[in-house]
Amino acid sequence: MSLHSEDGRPDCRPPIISAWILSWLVSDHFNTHAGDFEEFFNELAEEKGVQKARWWYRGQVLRLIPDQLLEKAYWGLLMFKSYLLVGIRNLANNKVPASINIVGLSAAIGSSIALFLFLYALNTRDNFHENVDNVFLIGHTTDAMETLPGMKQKWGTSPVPMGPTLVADYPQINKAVRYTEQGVMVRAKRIAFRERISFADPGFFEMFSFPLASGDPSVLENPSAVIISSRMATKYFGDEDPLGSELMIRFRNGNEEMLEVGAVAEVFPIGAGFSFDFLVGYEKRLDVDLDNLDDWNALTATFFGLQ
Amino acid sequence: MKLLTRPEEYVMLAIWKLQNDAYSIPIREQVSKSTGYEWSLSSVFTPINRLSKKWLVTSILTKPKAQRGGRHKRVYQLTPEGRQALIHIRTVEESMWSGVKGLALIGGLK
Repeated sequence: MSLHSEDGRPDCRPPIISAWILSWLVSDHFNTHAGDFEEFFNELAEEKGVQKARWWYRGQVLRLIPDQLLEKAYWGLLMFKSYLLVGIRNLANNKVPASINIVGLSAAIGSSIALFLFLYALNTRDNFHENVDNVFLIGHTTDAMETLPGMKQKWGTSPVPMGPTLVADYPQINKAVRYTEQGVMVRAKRIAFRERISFADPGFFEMFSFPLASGDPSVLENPSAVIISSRMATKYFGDEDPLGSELMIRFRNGNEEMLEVGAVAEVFPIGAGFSFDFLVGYEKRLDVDLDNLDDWNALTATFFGLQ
Repeated sequence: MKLLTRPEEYVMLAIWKLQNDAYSIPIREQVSKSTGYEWSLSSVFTPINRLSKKWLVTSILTKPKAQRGGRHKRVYQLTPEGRQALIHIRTVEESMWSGVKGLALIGGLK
């Protein structure tokens, strides 16, 4: 059998996959290892037959793998070390351009990270609410008057009776939740702070997915109960279980009421656009700053959901 | 100086003996013949790689040949440091073996 016919092209070839592995493993520009293997392969093919030579070739390549991988890693590391050294020397030789580059690149990377985080926070804001796609806020636009003459101003408020009226008159609006905040004084035992209290309709917890650590969302309908955030629970009660404890709340109009903690919210998810510290039922506004809830001059935030 | 390992020593001796034709296949043949068992090509490359890292062995490229799939041949040579290392290990071995009795060569000394 002649392996090298007259035109110089061999009649048999080593196994393709093994040859490919070999050329990948041995990162030698001139491929001398592959040449050695092929020469030996040809000798063996002449002596013992092509099939045997092919199996020999496969076995040899397989045996070469662990050693050559180590070899690749060694030279790779060596080159990396050398590149690093050259890089450091270049930095040391061109101090001014290098520092300009480093400062500029750090500023660029830093600002893009900051921008990314900002946009991420903006785009995921309030996303944890389960039906976030079905929550709308009624707004209104007014003339800006003195502050910005000729301009319009947008407000997120609407008249207090508007929510219930919308639910009653429009069948496609199936729920409305009014929400208002006010500054109050809160006292528990011997500590007292200025706090922000929120008034909300009973549907609040159906519309917004603020998880409760303990208690039931239905206490929002109980006029003598208050729902507090976990932060406020720690602030006023420390490690104690606040459920059932009493809080003295002094409203802006001077009314003082003793309210019982009916539920405690879990720590609010990151990205909550708005949250509450103390939450009571909306009817409580009657005791505090409204004579009746049909006053179209009184303003509130009204969220509604569609069917 | 750190001593060479056995495979390194054998491969270097083979390179030295083969002189201008010292590439992997004759090296393998030489070493297999002397040790009496078949060395695979990869087990020749392992010590050669190690020796080149230690700069005891260098290589030159020869012209490509059709027999080798049109590839170059890498012929190895000892560097002066390599020769020093061989001399060193020979000195060590001869001093280790000197005065050893009762371990005659098979068939006796010729």
